Amino acid sequence: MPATQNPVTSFAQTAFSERALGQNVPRREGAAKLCGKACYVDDLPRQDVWFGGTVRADVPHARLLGIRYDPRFDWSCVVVVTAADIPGENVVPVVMSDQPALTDSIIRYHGEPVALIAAPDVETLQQALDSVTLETAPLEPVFEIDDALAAKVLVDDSDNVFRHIDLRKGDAVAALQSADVVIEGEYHTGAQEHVYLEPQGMQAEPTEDGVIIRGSMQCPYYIVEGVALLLGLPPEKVRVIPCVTGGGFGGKEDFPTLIAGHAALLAHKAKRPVRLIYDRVEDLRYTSKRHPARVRHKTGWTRDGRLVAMQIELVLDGGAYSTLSPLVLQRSAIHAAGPYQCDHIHIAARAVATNHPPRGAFRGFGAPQSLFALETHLDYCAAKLGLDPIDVRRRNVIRPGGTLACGQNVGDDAAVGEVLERALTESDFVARRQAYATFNQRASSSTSVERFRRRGIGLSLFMHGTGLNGNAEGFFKSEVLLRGNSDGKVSVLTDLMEIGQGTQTIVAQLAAEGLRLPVEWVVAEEPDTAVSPNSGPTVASRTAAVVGGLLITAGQRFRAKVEHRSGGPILDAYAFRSAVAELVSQEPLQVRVAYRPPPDFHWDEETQQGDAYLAYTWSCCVVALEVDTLTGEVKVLDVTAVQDVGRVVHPLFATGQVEGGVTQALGWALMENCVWSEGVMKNANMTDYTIPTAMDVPPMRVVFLEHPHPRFPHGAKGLGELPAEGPAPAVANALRQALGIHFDRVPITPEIILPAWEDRQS
Amino acid sequence: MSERTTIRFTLNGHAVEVSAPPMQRLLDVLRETCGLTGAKNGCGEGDCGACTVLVDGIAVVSCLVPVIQIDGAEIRTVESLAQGDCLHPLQQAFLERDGTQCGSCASGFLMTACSHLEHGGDTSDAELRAALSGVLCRCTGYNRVLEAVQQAAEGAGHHAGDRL
Amino acid sequence: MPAIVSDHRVHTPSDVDDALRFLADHRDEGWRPLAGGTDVMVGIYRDHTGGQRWLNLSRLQAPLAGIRREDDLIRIGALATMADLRKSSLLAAACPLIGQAAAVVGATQVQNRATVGGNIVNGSPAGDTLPVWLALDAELELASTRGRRQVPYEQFMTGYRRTVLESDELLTAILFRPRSDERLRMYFRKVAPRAAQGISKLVFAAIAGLEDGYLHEVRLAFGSMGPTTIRARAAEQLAEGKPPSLSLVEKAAETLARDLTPIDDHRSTADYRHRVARNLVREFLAGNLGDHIPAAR
Repeated sequence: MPATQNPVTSFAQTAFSERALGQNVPRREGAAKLCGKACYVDDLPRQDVWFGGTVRADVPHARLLGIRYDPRFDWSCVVVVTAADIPGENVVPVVMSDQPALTDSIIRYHGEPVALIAAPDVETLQQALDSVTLETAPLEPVFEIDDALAAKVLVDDSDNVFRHIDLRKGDAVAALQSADVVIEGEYHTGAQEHVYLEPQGMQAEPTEDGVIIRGSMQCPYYIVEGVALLLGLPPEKVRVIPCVTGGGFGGKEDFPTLIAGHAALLAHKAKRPVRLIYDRVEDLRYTSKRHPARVRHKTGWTRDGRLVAMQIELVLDGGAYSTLSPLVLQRSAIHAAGPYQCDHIHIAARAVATNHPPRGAFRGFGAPQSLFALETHLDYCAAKLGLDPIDVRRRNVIRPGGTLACGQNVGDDAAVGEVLERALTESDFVARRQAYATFNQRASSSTSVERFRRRGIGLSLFMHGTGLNGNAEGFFKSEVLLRGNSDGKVSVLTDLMEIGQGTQTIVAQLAAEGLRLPVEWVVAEEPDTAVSPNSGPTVASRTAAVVGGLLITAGQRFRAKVEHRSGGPILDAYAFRSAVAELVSQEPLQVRVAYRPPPDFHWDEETQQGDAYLAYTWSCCVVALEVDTLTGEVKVLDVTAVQDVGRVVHPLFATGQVEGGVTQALGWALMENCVWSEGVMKNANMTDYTIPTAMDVPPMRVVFLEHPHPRFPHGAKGLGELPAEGPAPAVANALRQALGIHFDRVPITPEIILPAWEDRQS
Repeated sequence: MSERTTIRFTLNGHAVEVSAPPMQRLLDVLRETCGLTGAKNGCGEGDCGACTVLVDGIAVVSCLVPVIQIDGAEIRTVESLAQGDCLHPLQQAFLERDGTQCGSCASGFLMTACSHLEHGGDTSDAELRAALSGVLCRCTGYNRVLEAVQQAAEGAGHHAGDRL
Repeated sequence: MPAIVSDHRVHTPSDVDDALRFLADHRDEGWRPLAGGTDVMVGIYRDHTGGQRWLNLSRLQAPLAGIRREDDLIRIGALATMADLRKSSLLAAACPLIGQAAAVVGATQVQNRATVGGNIVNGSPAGDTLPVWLALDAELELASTRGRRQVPYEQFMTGYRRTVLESDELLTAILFRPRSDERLRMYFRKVAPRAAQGISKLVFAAIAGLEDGYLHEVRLAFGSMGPTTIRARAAEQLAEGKPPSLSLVEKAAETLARDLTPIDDHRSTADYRHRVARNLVREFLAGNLGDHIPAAR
């Protein structure tokens, strides 16, 4: 079985009819991963490499007075770096750039990096790390959102509010007055850890006049910028060659810039390659998390269930530095009113500073928090109104030509109602809801083991805006490059990272689609900032949609260029390939395409009104579950996920994205609980921070509705984040049926469920 | 301070002799001394299963095995599965069903499944979920993994091009 | 950060006598038995404790890993693995709780290495098999050059990670009377944060006879409900010799708090553990009351 080669028959006869788009093309790097040959950062050769470690603050908030080095340790055999050694600017550049690479004055979270050590072997490194102590003068820490807002103690240098966003549509205050019924609710969501299976790690190698960075990451050009600034180098002297990256989920968007900077500082001073790998405990304790959130809803309704006004107050706990919080907040706010038509909305959103490790990007980027609140609140309201939550959604769901909270007219991109109906059908929702009601009734009077079982089914309806918010896509001016090779194949160059989602494969597919060539003739080159253009970050569900569109266009232009130079249309694939080879033998043949915002796309950053996103994906998630009332344990029976993501590029990968996203969200909903004490995560190991195992995950039904979006030449709207946004409220809503209890927070652990159930019984 | 000991074992069919501290993890010996990096260090405490290898045909987490205890044993790692360019049926099935995304868990699943199937383990959904519950995956949600193992067990030739 | 392991010392005896002699000769030097290593290695790499001394038992499997009948007792060698326990048909017949407990210790890869002796000597109150030994009135065989002694499992654990094992002793076997009587009611349940690979929030193993409608030899044993594994003696005594009526079940459940002393920690809460303990005892005692079973709570 020579499966390292694609086991596909010759394309000679079928080249033009064979479409690359929508096919389950074998994963490009699949065989390497399955044979243990894929090279992750810790798999790089170890020869001549020193190992780096981080000296961290052991208090959550303090003034740093000094660093003590135990004289019993031989410091001549290691290299130590502190803030004083930083040749450039001591900063991790993100949005507000308020975070130092190494603090030299105020410690703002437990675990904040203070110094770095590199040693020739890991045991010496460990001994050195054990021989450093910090002298600190404690400051009062802030851990709770309300304390942060009270601003009696300041974590940042202003008022503890990183960003405040007001999103206004109509006049929510006045409209609430006129509503038949006003219903309030408060919702809380917890921090969530990414648990990418490969922990964070970087290796830096000094060159004559710069540095090479290799490692685990989502955004190579973030690292170019960060390391250049830190070392005081021009960006072209920083070359980033990513390694195979073992999962990201947002956790390797901004955070790797910090580690890359640390590795670079050590390599720079040690004048040799230095590898800095976090072990799991360090990774869990000190890397970013999904922002904990508190969301308050005040909703005005007509008696028959029409949304009159939505007043939403949203606060995210951003941790000690702002990182991506201003942008996470923005997405959280824009998604807070969901896929519904309501004329009067006010969303007040704030991201606040606390003395927790800085939060960061995590699949969904703020949307799961606000959507949990909204979709749980809708079922709560339906119950209060005495209406069926399905009907409430049907009545209010956005329709073609409708406008979202940010004032964006969705035009024809409005399949959300269709998604809802399809999900009801696919999950047999109504019949099962009835069956579970009967089951629960029978259980309550049963004498068999059934008496300790309750079942419920619930759903959520939600959306995800494609790509970066507003003008950010235009800001990045993402580029892709197609290059003809001497063998007539075409190389695709981007800096998009394969982190599990199949980037290398779909990039080739999309270029092949534009080129109208067999996908096997398209080579997806590995990112390397020395040669790859900046295609923007691998985040925000933008790869297949936004950059995918560029690749289609690039493919089409490449073909046009070849045909033009060869004197006319070339129908046969082999002839085309020969023409490419021929042209390449004369001069370099390449096509570069850069992103430009569509002319009809307008976003006003001042008012937060306009086209927030290029497009929206829509989804409905249905969760059926069973509760053991002896223990409060929940078993998810099955999940149905229906989504409109535009054209599906790779059905198998897309299904995997949905199943994986749903699984992560089920973990967040039911079991993933970051236990904090004085700013330290107490359960920072994979035994006690529990992610779902194969036994926790139910069968899933995944259905795609494919409504191609005209903004993208191939019609794909992106997928990565969407599936993680709906399961949590669907779980809460299913629990409402099972137990008759309104759960207003995640994770909904047995420790919450059991007392609530027993108290309700007595 | 350093006490080293000489350990002899068979690694993917080849006799190997290494000198290592006796309590060093088998995982580190495989990755650093023997240069086989297919087994991954995902958690270091036996939870994620990414470091699973076979010791005398039995699946173990190599991060919890002190190398002193594998003296004389026969070790198989993920690197032993493919024969040249020819993938093992499990690898082929994982490729076709997309049983691995980021790849960090791949060797864990493959070696665990390999041991399970070689010992005639049940491949019903429930049994397989239990058998594979010692390998954590954050990407797939496991259903692709299950399908891949079942496909390999059946020897069925589903094509990667099949739509779901 | 990888731990410092190069200063750990290991001695590998070739037989049991050699092992006991070595322990006798080096009594106060801190040598500890190393069996499957699944707990020891976590400790070394998580806590970075250097300079420890290990008596590696990997060559003692032949004498110490067997599971067999010995007169009217079942004898489990201390080095039998969880996988051995799970797969043993002898044990399945003698007491199905053992296999059930072994099957929830970590996952397969850990069960293939983790030994029953390690689970016991380790002395963690969260050990998944431990309540079973308590419920079974199992005896532990401890060997040294001074001879062999038998200690009831119940007296073995004296506190959190403290046992009566002397520094020159090895745990060599677990012995118990088989329970295959159909009139016996048995129960095992581990409550953990997820369906597999969880550290228990609570483990409960129970055995009781039911003869002519009366309960006898009631054993209610818990893990993770105090510094050691614990028997709920007050509730046992209450139930002993009585028919399992609804009121008895309720009284027994309410009596549990006299013996159980769970705490709030990062894994669960004392309140939750108490609630679950009550419910599981209710389920166990009321398990086959048929029509007399109370309606659902």
